[in-house]
Amino acid sequence: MASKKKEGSNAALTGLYAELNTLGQADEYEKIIKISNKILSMDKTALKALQYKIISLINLGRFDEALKQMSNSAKLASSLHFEKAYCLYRLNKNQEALEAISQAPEQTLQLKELKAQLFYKLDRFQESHQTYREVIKNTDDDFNDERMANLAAVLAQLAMTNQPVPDAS
Amino acid sequence: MPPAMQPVPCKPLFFDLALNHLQFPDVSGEMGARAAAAAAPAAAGQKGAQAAAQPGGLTGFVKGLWGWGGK
Repeated sequence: MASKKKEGSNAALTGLYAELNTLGQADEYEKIIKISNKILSMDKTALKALQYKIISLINLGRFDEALKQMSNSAKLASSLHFEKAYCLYRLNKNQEALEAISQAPEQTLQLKELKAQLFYKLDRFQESHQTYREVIKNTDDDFNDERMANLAAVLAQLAMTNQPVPDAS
Repeated sequence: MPPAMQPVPCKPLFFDLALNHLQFPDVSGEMGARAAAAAAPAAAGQKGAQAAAQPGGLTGFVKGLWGWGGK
């Protein structure tokens, strides 16, 4: 009996995940939040459902809610360094965002990209420049033009504040 | 009389590229065999983009993901 019930809930879960997958492709963020909540009510350890929910909240501009959700399920959300730092960045809590990034076990390129943007916001243009150089060297995607625009912005700020351009190292 | 106009530096353009890195995780493993098969076009699109010879690895992958969103 118990196993039958478990089977039933497993089938329900796989269906809900399939829905998440479809809704994710359609960027149906409100609906994703509902489905994620359903999954999380059945399985409190569903990290991917939580991640779907957080990313949807971020895309809806609800950064406070996303952060609250992450602190409510702090243990489950402990690996979502990028999501947390991004919310803090958008809420202008730049120092806290840097701290969140430094807590990640590995400084991925994604985290470094966010870090370069944070340094810029914090007027730490030399560090921003250095970080951008590294990101640009190691990235190959459709956004290199935008990245170069950001680097140009950093260089302009360095010039405007009479700071030297750091050496490539 | 208003003071003479003066040029001031404009704020440089600055893009938020980190937002692009926020992507939904892959749940094909959680969808079960039947649902995964039903969603095969999507999964195949993604894997195809990864496997097929495409210029510039990551670019193709990202494009694949977005083509995937278009379906």
